[in-house]
Amino acid sequence: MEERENKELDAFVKRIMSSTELDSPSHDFLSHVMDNLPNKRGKELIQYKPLISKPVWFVIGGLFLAFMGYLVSKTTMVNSSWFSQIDFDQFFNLPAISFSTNWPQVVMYALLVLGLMLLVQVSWMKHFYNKRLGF
Amino acid sequence: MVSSKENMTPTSDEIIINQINAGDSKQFAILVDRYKDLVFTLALRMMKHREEAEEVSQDTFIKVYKSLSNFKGDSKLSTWIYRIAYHACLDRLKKNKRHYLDVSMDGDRPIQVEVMENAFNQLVEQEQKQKIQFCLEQLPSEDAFLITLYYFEDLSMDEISKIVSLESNHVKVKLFRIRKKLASILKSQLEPEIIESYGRARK
Repeated sequence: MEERENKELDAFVKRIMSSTELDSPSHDFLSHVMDNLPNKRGKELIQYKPLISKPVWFVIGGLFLAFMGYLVSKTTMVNSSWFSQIDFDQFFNLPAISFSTNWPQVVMYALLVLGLMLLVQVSWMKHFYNKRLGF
Repeated sequence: MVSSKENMTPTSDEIIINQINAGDSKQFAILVDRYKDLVFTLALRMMKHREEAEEVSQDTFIKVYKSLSNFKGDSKLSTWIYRIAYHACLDRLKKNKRHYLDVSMDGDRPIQVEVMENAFNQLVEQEQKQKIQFCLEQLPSEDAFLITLYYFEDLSMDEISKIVSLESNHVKVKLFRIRKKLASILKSQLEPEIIESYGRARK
């Protein structure tokens, strides 16, 4: 009974829906869309281009090796004592900043969990948007 | 009803997509022309506002253009475009914080299709169109989108479920409820004609 009613209703709605027409956007819709298209394809915009190209790296590498070679051949190793002249004590006697001991453990855990959640969210959102745009 | 797709040149979507991906962006105009009417109709049924529907449709096509290289061709291009349109509408509605009141289904009373059909047939064509238009406007946004998609495009349940991100069984149940809802609104609109046809039956 319900099945029949459903079929009748489907046929009726189909009939009334077919008497409606598709609406059309304004006549300048197409030109609006075409004018607002990004100039270049996204693919071209984010194409990877290294800042320092391979040949330049070879030149830099060659120069570095030449420089090292020059240093080894032309200079003699001297046990210079500049290192011992620096008073390291002044660096190592800085006032201690120990925030880890002052903070309650629960705060540290909260920060850790927050960091983890952020990582999870980043990958989840990436997946979400990928799924939404491409299937 | 003849969909706009069938009137177009036989150049398939796939060929056009390849041309656009190769850099010929002007070809995109063909795709816009091919799908703009249905995308706009779907947006209009959902947004219930012409200007907003037009803006959302434009955004949809720009999004489609931007992510065309992501389109893998596993589904029909139309399905993919409607999906983008649907989500663009949802986003816009969410942004506007607009909510349309849901329509009550007139209880669980059976809808007497025959009575309603007779009453509906008494109206002249123009009146029929106006009544349906009004009823569609009364439907909640998502329902209006779903029913338009179902009756205007020859899509399978699976394709519709992909567009609206629901299980196909869920889509079936939803469509059943929307049909009832639409009939219930139409019935309230046809009240005078229904009474009249009853009166005539008694004579």
